[in-house]
Amino acid sequence: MSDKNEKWNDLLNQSFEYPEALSGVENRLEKRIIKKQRNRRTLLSSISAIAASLLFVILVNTSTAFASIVSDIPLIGKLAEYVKFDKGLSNAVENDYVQEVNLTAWDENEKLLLPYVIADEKNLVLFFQLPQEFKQESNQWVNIKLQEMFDGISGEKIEGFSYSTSSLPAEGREQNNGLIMQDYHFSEGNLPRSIDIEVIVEMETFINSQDERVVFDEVAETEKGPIIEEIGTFRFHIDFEKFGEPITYVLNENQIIMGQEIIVEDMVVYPTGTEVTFRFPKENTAWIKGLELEVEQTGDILYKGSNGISGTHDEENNWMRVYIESNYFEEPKKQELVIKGIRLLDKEEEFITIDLDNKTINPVIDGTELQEVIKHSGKADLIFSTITTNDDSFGMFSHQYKDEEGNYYEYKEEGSYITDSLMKTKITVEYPVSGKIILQRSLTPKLLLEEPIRISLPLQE
Amino acid sequence: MLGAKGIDKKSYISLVTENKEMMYRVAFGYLRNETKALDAVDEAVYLGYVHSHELKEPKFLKTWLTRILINECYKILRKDKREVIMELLPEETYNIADDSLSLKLAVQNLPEDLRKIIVLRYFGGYTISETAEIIEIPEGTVATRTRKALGILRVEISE
Repeated sequence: MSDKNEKWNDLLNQSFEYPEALSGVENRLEKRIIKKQRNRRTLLSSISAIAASLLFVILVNTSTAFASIVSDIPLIGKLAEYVKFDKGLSNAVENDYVQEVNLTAWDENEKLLLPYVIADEKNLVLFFQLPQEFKQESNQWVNIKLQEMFDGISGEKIEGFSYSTSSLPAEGREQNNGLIMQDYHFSEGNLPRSIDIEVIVEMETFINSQDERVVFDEVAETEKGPIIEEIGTFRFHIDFEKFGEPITYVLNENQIIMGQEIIVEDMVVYPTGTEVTFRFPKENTAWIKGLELEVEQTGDILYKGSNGISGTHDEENNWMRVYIESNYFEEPKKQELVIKGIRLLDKEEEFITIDLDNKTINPVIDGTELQEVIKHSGKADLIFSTITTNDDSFGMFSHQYKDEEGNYYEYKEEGSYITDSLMKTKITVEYPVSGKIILQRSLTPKLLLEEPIRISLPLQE
Repeated sequence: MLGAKGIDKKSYISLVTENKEMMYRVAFGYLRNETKALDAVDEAVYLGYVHSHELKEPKFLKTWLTRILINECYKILRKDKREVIMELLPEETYNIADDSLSLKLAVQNLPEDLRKIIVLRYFGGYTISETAEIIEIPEGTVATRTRKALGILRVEISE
């Protein structure tokens, strides 16, 4: 059998390695059906104008009597589809924590809509919408990129946040009513009550058919990838409704994990997300670079790490905030904060010297090797191989490196991927005169605790 | 609570039990991640249940459920497609080294019309005829696209 065919069979066989959780599909389905029925009864008992429209959506999804109007689901019903991967945001939408802003911005003849937002002090979710008349071919994706954000009252530029954004392909556009979601998290400071935001709408055109390969090569001579065209720049002024008051749990719990002291300071629950703050004494011998958290109730996982954002820390690594889904709209019940995993970086192994000529790392790092050094045009591609588990993927190095004289440089190129429990990381550097560079390690493989740490959360009134 | 006309909850759940392994393999073929594949399966079986009254013929439930599953996989892929960080954050790496095409990535990088065929036929185990029914294209087109996809992947499989 050819090598390629062997790899093909290995690839197919991986899909036959069924996880244990697959056996619970039926139970999870039954629980969701019961919960949906319960939510419908709860909504029926407290009707408001907006709740009535939400009720309409839920009834449309579950009752044959409304089957004929399934195709006319109001736009707000689509939001639930977009946020369903985040239990906290799903609950926010179900509990009517959505602000209808109905804004429109123009750039000459192009228009962009902003019908809904979800906001609290720490998180902002924007639902942009392309107008119906916006033309999009089957091989085109629409992206929205943030340019700038300002405080809507003081005019100060807002910084210290991160965001993730969805893209919209032509396929599925009708189903999604042309919605594009952006999710902002304000790790430093709070979201102001009013903002001015400027975004760019781009069209990405993919040439993905072999028949058109010649055309692609002619057009994309100097760069690979899709063709990007700017559609327009759009500005919005948003005044937010009163943010939901956060719920604070003061914990001040000292824990020792793998010989390192961790102080769980507090947990603050906002309508759209939860922040758990940790402090680390200077006496620790390792930096705490990441923590995997869950909120559990009677052994069931209720809320876990938020998709796309897991945590931030200060420059000295004295504190860290970890983000998980919110349980803001849940009835108060006995719950536990569970620490399931940790990323540790030995302080003495934070900086490593790479000898490009001899392909060595000093000090030696367990589980990581410098697999390849490829010299080209005065540069070098360094390919590292790190043992990892459960498709755990992370950034190994800080974005800068230095030479032995202490001069700093930025990477030319950086990328990573996982294959068969090995994470390959590639960086491209200028080939150093001395043949050596010094890298600063950033993250390490996640270690799952054999005995997770459980912290009881006080019952809130 | 009834789903499709003539299909009660118990029968629907039996169908899920019968097909969940196949569904997982299809989702895994698309998403290459155990957790995301499970999420896609969970979501698809739930949506299949709440929308099953829209299904005209109960005998097409399996095909219909597979289509819902594929849409769920697209949604997850779309959600993962872009992540832009304004400040340096730990945990996520986002760029795939473009000179590293393992077979896994090669499948992911196939044009969508070919990837769908490969995932259904070789991960899902569907025949040409079943695949044609799910995607709603002629059987001949399924066969042609299969050969094309295997050619791109440089895998030789006798049909």
